[in-house]
Amino acid sequence: MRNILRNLIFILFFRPLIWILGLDVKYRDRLPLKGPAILVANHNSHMDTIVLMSFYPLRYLHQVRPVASAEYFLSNRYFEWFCRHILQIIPIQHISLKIKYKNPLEKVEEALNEGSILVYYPEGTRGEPEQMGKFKKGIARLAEQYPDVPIIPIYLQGLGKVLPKGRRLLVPFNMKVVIGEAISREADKRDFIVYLRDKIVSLAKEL
Amino acid sequence: MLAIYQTISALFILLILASCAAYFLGSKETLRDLKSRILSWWIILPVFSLSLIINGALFFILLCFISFMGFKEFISAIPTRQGDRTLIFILYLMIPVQFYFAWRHQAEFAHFIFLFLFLFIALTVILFGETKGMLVSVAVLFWGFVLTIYCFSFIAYLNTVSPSSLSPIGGAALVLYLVVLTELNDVSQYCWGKLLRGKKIIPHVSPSKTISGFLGGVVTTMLLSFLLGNFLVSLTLIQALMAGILIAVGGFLGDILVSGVKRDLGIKDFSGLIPAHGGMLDRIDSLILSAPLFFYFLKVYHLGGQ
Repeated sequence: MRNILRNLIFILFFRPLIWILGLDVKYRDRLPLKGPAILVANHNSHMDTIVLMSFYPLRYLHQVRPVASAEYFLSNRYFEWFCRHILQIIPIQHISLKIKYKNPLEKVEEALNEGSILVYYPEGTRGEPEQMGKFKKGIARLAEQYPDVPIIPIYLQGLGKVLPKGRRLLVPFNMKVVIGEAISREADKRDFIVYLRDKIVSLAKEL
Repeated sequence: MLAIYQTISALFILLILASCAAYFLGSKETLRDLKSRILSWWIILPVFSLSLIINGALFFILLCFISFMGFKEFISAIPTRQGDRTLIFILYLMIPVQFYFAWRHQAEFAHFIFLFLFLFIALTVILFGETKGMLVSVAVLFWGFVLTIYCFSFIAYLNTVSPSSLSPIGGAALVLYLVVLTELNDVSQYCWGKLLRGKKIIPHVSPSKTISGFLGGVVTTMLLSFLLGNFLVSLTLIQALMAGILIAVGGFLGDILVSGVKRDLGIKDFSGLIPAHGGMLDRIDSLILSAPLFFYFLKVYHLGGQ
């Protein structure tokens, strides 16, 4: 039932919306259709998740799961229902909260074990419009734990203009997406983050 | 109306011939661009001709949509300030307003932009935006509106012109005449340029345009104008040749104008909307100047009894 509702929302609302706004995608075929996989992108807008999910054919859509901050997305009842059941977000607590007895990435790991395709934003927040912030360490931990899961770097441009943080008015701008090749990972945590960030920055040059 | 159907049929036959020619020329790598160009025409031609024939309202929506896409591509390519987002949103909403004025032949069709919108944009930026960088913002937004919406709204005006001695069928024939000549001028400039090569006409703006291509285009367009001038509309020989030159030169200059903008912004195409053609603006660039020029050409000959 929820799958049908999700498909309907994407067909009737999100996809036409994205078509009207205008989207150019480079290397769309690099997107893995089957999980487990992790899509890693820069984050500037709520549109990021919608656009990345809309790339997936409907029969693969149910396995795509965005990782998002629990405090933000679970704040309003209706919004929470939408996020949990339509977007199927995986809520995580910020590591900065230091809940020591609990692994903040536990649910993320569960999802990967189930073969989901994660949408992961290493910046942790949407931040300043059209600027890429610092990457957090969580992704490096996942990469270390799941060496066989492909990580796909993705660069998103223009989405932060369409719907920047803190704004409600959707203004049409062309959006551009470059999808990178699945990357091989290095052992060291910090190096991996730098490496990943450089990869995404270099994708920007392919526009 | 019969002349409109016949002209559109002729266009389809031309497109079929072009497709066959491209098919039999083989599968060389250099032809891939040409083939996807032709494929894109297979979408453009049916959409354009069907909406022109079926219903005025449908054509109105198509024009608004084309302008919307063009304006959006322009807005996306220029650097914009966060504070101007609301204004840009309002400008999007002004597209159907501008087209409505043009459609109904209201005098506001011209005044709306140059008085109301000119002041409105500046005042909104000052009152609700930042003053830092305001002049640039106002100028660029206004310029983009004129380029992609005002110039294009002349087509909406032409479409609702009532039948006259110049155009017994009415506005749709004038639109078809203008669009067919402008687009075929584009195509023939491209073809002559590829066939004859030779010296570049304006190398610092467009590396692919040659003098021979331009001249070939002008001659071809004059010939077509002569053929259609007595059939689709009723222009005299001199009028038809003049319209041909005007549309060919206007189309070329519009193309150059948009190329210049792209050069300044450091982009090749405005978007990837139409495969091998680029964005909407890359496709309609030649109409941007040929439409108002053709409009004033007709005005000189007292179009529609005005």
